[in-house]
Amino acid sequence: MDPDESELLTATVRDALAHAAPHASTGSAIDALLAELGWSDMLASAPSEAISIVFSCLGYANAASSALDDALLDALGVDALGVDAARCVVLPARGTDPPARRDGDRLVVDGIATVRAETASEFVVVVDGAAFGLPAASVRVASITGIDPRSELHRVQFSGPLPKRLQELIVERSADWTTVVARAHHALAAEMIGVNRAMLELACEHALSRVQFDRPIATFQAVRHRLAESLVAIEALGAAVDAATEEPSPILAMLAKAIGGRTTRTVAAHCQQVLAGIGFTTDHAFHRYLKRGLVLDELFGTADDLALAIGRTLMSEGSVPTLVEL
Amino acid sequence: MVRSATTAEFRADLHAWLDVHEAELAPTYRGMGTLDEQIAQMQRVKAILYEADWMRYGWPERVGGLGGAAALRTELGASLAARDLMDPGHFSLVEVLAPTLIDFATPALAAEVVPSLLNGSEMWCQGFSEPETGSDLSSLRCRAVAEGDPSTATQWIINGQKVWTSLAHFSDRCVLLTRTGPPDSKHLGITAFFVDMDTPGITVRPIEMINGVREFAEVFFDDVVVSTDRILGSVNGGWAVAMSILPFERSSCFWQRIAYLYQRLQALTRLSEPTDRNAEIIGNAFLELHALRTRSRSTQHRLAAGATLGAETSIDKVLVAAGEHAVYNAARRLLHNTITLDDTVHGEQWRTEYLYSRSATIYGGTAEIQRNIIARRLLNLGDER
Repeated sequence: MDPDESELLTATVRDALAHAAPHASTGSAIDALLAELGWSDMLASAPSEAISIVFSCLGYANAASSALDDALLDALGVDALGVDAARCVVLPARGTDPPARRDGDRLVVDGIATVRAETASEFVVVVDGAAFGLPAASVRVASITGIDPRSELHRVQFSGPLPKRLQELIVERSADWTTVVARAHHALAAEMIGVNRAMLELACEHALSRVQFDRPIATFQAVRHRLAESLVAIEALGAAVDAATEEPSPILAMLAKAIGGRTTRTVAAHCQQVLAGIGFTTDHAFHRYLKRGLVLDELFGTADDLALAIGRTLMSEGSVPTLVEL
Repeated sequence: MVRSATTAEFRADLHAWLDVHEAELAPTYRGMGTLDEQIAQMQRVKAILYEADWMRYGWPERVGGLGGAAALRTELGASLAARDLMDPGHFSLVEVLAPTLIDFATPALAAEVVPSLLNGSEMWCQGFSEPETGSDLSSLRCRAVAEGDPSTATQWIINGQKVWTSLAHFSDRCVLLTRTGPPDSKHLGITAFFVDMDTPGITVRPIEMINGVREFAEVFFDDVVVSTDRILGSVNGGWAVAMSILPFERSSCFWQRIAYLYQRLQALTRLSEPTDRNAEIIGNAFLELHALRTRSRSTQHRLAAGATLGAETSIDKVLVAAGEHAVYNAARRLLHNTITLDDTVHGEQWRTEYLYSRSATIYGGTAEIQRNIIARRLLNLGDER
């Protein structure tokens, strides 16, 4: 995709999502909209770029969806469509370890899932290098309210005999959990760009319109510096996500996600302070982004988890690689 | 001689050559050496690299170069920094000063002097800051007056003072900003000169930095006579000269510094106990460097694609300072008693570099100035009151 094409696609997806008013839409409605926009074709033809663009737009629109399932199933080489409905991937509730383990000839699963959990034909888990499909009827699904009910996440649990392998459906790729994690890190980092850009826009609008002591608060240097600091963090995240988009690799994706988590904390703190009273209410849109940011940081490892994991790797290898070149 | 088609091939060829010539290029001192030793090392390495053509890639043929993309120079500087063959800050003065001569000097002057800078036979310095001119460069006062009518004068007389002039006491020439308009003419009344440092009337007084190194100097100009053909750009056109440096300072110079920071974080990683506490500190410092490196890379890609770099490089500047602080703050936290009490060359190097790293939020426009620029120009928050 050349820069013009990618810009055009970004504008198309962003405008379509804005038009759909995601704060009043359900995840299923957003899924239908993404289908109309040709999301599965985009994913098939240029997965990395499609993920970068679509997830950043989803974050900006504060939209819930099950796009993550499609992205991860694509990484696994498993068809997103099951027998009579879409497949849903079970995500780790905490950290990056697979949410499923074998216990003899039984399988124990405890994880979370997107809005697709409500309609899925099958839940997909990866255990010991193979993907398994759990029939929806055998899985306990409970909707999660949590801090951000509008992210429409679900708790998913299963305990029972080892189900059917999906391996025969996998084309040219092994069901490697590392590729799932890398794909998730990339998508979530891109989504965080959108979340952060939206928070910063809201804070800048407020700073320019809110008058105190006869002047917009945007004229106070203390306020300006918080907003500037936020932009610096967001642009750095953007560059880290671009690097992960150009060259899909587990380490570049993980770094992007870790930087995404840190950026979200920085930007949320600065913007909330600038928004002050109004940002403390549910009348203003800020709270939705703050809450989404907290949820995204937790998924597939927080910034702290990932920084520690990366630091351990660097120390055990005794090497600090530059990773990207000119 | 290798004729590399792409930057990646150039990098590979360069590293292969550097591997072979490692012994010849390596410093003869242990640790970081004294400033005099460092400068001698840099000039020696530049001479070897010029002789082997590496120092000529990316520079125009009319100044002794071999042509090619500017990115080749950046690769060279970064490779030397990554191998600890010279101080990237000293080396990057080439990147700041040579383009100024190429773009603003008369072609004859550029052809005469630029090769001497590249081949290590000369050092140059940059006379910009003044005692009362820190972040607000346009308020500078060092005065140049034409002898007679400015439009026909053949000589100018310079009086005033510069400060924070890096390596002035080692330098043969100076790119000097002077006030030629009325005192309050700000950026409209500045003229740049290329001055020989042995001209009568110039006095250099080194300044000892917080780390004990005498890298900077005050430079005093007392009726210094400079010929008109040493004007860079036009009379009262000096602001454009000063601003033209920014893209180089904020792209290739940063890239060289970044390469050095990775090398130092690697050294730190190898010196530290692999505990979780230390791993978290190292991991977080690495995140800062990766954010900085990917950002700097995209800035350089835009520059290579023909974009004009402007206010958005203030973001790169803030990130460089963050990366610098991350690495040396990590060193302070991980290497107990090294910075404070260790008198070996090892301790001396970490101590000197730690103290130097405090300048990252000050030099080249303070962190606060960068945030002001970001707020006004990138976030469109209007003027401060």
